[in-house]
Amino acid sequence: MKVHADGPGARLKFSGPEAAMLAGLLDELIAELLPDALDRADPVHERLFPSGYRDDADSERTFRELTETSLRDERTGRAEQCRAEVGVKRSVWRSCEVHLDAEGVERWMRVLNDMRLVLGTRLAIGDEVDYRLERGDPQLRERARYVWLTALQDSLVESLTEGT
Amino acid sequence: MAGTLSPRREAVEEVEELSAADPDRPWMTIVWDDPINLMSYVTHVFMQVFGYPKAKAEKLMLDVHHLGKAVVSSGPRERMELDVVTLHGYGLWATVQQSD
Repeated sequence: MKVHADGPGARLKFSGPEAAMLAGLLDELIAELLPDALDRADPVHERLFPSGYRDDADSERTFRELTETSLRDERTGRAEQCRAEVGVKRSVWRSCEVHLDAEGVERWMRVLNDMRLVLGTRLAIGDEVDYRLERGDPQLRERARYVWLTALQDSLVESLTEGT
Repeated sequence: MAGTLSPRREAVEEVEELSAADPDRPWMTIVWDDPINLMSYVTHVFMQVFGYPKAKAEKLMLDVHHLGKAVVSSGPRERMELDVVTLHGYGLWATVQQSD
């Protein structure tokens, strides 16, 4: 995975296996964002659609009714656009390069964040993130993906500073 | 219990300042600390959403990180709700609160 600043935009390069993994993660996110895919009690639901009010149940209910659908649609729209940029599913994924303008960088950052919120919540990531990967960890695969997404998002945020 | 009292008192003091400046703006948007959002990303979001200069955005991000929360904007209730929805769209953990 490589991220190059390109003026106000950026170029992302992924190897074949990385492109396959990213496409899979985006597909999973899009599936999780379908209405009723997540139980309301699921911590992932609470993380993607947090309460707008802490101690006011009535205001919170109204706030949610007014905002949840559009928030869901916007998230899905952004994820689908990123998914399309990674390319169509093939039997063997080849390396791919995604060229982004400033708007595209912004969108990718947000979608990567959404994927990290889902994975990080499932992994119960705490304040002290342990980025070491250990053999035998039953969550090794998810943990490795979380670390990879974090590195990608960090590089993308970093590229904004380089580009200006 | 004592631990929760002092931050609450700090928040009230800050709000009094805001109300003194504009009595019609008793609402505020609060961002809470969370272990997933990257510090660099949160700074970027504050710059992008509120148009804050980098120094101010960074200070707010550090307040969230070290104090557990920060008031990132204040004004009429409807505008605060809009700020909160926008921040939720970026994956930040934000709430609306009245200053009282």
